[in-house]
Amino acid sequence: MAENIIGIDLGTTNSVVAVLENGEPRIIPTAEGSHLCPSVVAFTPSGDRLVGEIARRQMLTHPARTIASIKRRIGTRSTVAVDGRHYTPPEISAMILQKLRDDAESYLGGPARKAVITVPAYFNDAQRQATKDAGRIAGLDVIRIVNEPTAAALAYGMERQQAQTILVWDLGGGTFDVSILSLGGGVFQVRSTNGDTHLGGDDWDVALARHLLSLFHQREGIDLSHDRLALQRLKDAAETAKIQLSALDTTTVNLPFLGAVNGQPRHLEVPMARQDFESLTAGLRERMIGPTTQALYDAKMSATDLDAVILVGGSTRMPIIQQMARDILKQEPVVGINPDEVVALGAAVQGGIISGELDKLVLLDVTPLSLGIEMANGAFARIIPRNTTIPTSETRAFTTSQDNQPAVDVHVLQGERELAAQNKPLGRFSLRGISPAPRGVPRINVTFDIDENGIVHVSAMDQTTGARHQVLVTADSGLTEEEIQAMITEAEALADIDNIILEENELRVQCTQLLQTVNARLDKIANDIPIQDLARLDKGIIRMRQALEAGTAAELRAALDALRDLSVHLIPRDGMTTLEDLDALPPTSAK
Amino acid sequence: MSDEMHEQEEWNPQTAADIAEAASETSSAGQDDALELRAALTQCQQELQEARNAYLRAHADFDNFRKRMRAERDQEFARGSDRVLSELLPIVDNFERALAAVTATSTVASLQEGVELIYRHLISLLERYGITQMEVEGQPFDPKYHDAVARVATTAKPEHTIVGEVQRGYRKNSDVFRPAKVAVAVAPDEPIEE
Repeated sequence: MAENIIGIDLGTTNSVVAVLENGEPRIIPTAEGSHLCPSVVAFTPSGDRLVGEIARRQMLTHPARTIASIKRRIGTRSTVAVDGRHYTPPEISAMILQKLRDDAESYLGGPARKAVITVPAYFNDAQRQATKDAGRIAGLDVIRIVNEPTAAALAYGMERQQAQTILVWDLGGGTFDVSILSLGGGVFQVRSTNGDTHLGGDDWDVALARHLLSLFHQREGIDLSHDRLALQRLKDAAETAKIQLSALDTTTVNLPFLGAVNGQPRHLEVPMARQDFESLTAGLRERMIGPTTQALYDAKMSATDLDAVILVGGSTRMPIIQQMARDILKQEPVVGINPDEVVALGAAVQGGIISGELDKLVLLDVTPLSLGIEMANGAFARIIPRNTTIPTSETRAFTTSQDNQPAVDVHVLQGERELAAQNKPLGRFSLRGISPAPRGVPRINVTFDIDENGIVHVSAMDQTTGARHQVLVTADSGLTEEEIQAMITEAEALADIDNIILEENELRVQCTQLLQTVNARLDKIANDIPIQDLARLDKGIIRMRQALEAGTAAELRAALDALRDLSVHLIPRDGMTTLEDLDALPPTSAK
Repeated sequence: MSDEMHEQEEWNPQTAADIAEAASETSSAGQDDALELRAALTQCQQELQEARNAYLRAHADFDNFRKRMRAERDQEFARGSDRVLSELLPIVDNFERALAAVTATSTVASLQEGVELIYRHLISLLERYGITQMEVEGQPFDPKYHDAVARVATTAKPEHTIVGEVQRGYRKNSDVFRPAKVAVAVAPDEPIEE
C-alpha cells in the first residue's frame, strides 16, 4: 500500500491535519480528541515539552515558557529564549508538526512521513523555506508547500472546473486574509493578496463581552472590569452567544450569580437578537471591506469578474459575513465544508493529486432520484433509494392483490413522491402465467439492476412457476441538480397530503377485496345463512358499494369495519383462510 | 548453361501431393490455431469484463455501505442524546416545583434544601454516565486537568496553586471530560508577558 501523505494547515492560532481515505479527505483528530490543535508550545520547569491544548492551558501560569503564534515570526532571524536556550521559529513550528505527525501515525497505524503543508499566499520565499525546514526538522518529507487559499479551492474540487477566478475570504481567530486566485490549465495562480493581521473572530467575542459588561454596570451598578473571573465568564458567554446566533435568530445570555451587592447575588440575563449582535459588531465588518477592495484593485478586476467566493475560517459561519459576500462580491459564497478544516482537507487533496491516488479513483455515479414500482393502492414502492451508488442491484418480493390474479403489471417509476401517479413513468410490462391462488399467496420477485451507465434492467419472476419477464429503461432524468433538489423538497412538503390520499386508496383496496371475498363465500353458502342474517349482510354490502362509489375515507373505514364484523360472525369458517386473515395480510401487492 | 543448372528435379506427383497436403495441413493447423486464439481472446475479454463489472459493483456496494453506516451512526448519536436529554426532564420538573414553592413567607433555608436536593439529583445523573466532579481548590495547577484563565498575585499560597475556580472541571472515568477553568496564584513580582 502506498504511504499516506498528510495535509497540514499550520495556522497561527490552531493547526489541523488531514489525510485522504478512499479518495475522500478526512480530518485526523488529535490525541486529545479534537480536530484543532492549538499552535502553542511550552517548556515546563522540569524540562518537559508541551504542545497543543495542554500547552495552551498553562499559558497564563508560565507565560515566559510558552510560545504562541510563532507563525508570525517564521522566516525571520528572531529566536525565542527559554531556560537560556534559543529556539528558532522553524524549531518551534517543528514541535507542532511533530505532534501532528505523531497523532496522525497513531490514527493511521503506520508511518506518515510525507506531508503537504499550507502557508498564507503572501508568504515570501524565506517564510516558505522556513516552513519547509520546520517540516524537515519534524522528520517530514515536505513534498509541497501550498497556498492556503489554493488548498481551500482544492477542497471544493475547483481544480476540475474550467478556468476561473476565485476570491477567498479567510477570517480566522486572529487574522483576516483576502486572496484572489486564477485557475488555468489545472494550475492556480495568486493574483493578489491583502488582509488585516489583527482582525479575527476573537474581536467579535470581545465586542459582545464589552457590551455585556456595560449592561451589567448599568443595571446593577457593578463594574466587573477588574474581576478576572467574571470577565472570563462574560467572554465565554459572548463566544457561546456568537456561535448560537449563527444558527438562531435569537438567543439568551444567561449568567446567574455574576456579581453581588451587599452580599446579595446579582444575575445577568440578556436576550440577544442576531441583528443586535450584528449592529454591535458592524465596525469589525467594515474593516474587511478595505482589504477586499484593495485586493481586487491589485488584481485589476472588479467583483463582477469573480467566478467564485470561498469562505474559510470559523468566523465566516456568521450569516452576516455570508450576506456581505453576496452584497459586496455579488456571489453566493461557496460553503459546505467545515471552514475550520477546509484548508487541511485541501492539503490532503493536493497530496492525493501528487501521489496519483486521485487518478486511480474509480468515479462512480449515483441515482439522483429514487426508482421503484407502483403498488395496487397507488403507492410508490421505492426499490432503489435516491443517492445510491451504482452499479447496484436490489430485489424485493411482492404478491397479488386479487384472488386468482393471472398476471401482475409492473409499472416502473422514478421520483420522490409517495403517490406513484406523481412520479415519472419509465416503463411497464406484465408478468403472465401466475398460478391461480388466493391473493397474497404468490411470491413475485422484482429486481432492479442498474449498470454503470445508468441503464436499469427491471425484471419480475414468479417464484412458483419460474415465469420471468424484464424491461430495459434509462433512468437519466435529464434534470439539473437544482430541479432535482426542487423535486425532493416538493415531495417532502407534500408527503402528508400524499399519505392521506394513499390511506384512502388503501381503504378502497381493502373494501374491494373484502367485497370479493364475501360475495364468493355467499355464492357457496347463502342457503345456509338465516334470512335475517342474510339481509344484514346485504345491507353491509350495499353500504360498502356506496362508500366505494362516492364515500369519504371515514365512510370507507366505517363500511369496512361493519362488513368485517358481519362476515366474521355470520359466515362460518370451513378450514380455508379466514376473511380476517386475508384482510390482515400486508398490502405488498403489485397491480 | 551447365548441365547442373539445367538439371531439374523431375516432377514427382507424389511429392507434390505430399507438399500440397503438408501445406494444406499447415494452413489448416494455422487456421485452427487462429480460431483457438480468437476463442481464447474472446473468453479473456469476457472474463475481464465480468471481473471489471464485479469490481465496480463491489466498489459501489462499499460506498453504499459507508453511506448507510454514516446514517446509522447519526441516528444512534441522536438516540443517545435523546436518552440523556429525557433524563434531564425530571430535574426540570423539580426546578419548576422549586419556583412554584417560592412565596413571600418561604424561608431561605427550606428553599435552599430543595435546590440542593435537585442539585444532588443532577450530580448523580452525571455519575451514572461516569462523569465526576474535580475538586481543585488548593491543588497545584496541572494543565492536564486545569485551564488557567486568571492569575492572582499573592504570597498567601504557594506559587501555581489554584486559588479560584471559574468553572468546575469534570472527569469521565479516568479521562478529562471538561478541564476546570481556574485562577492560579503567582508571585507578586512575576513579570506578565502579554
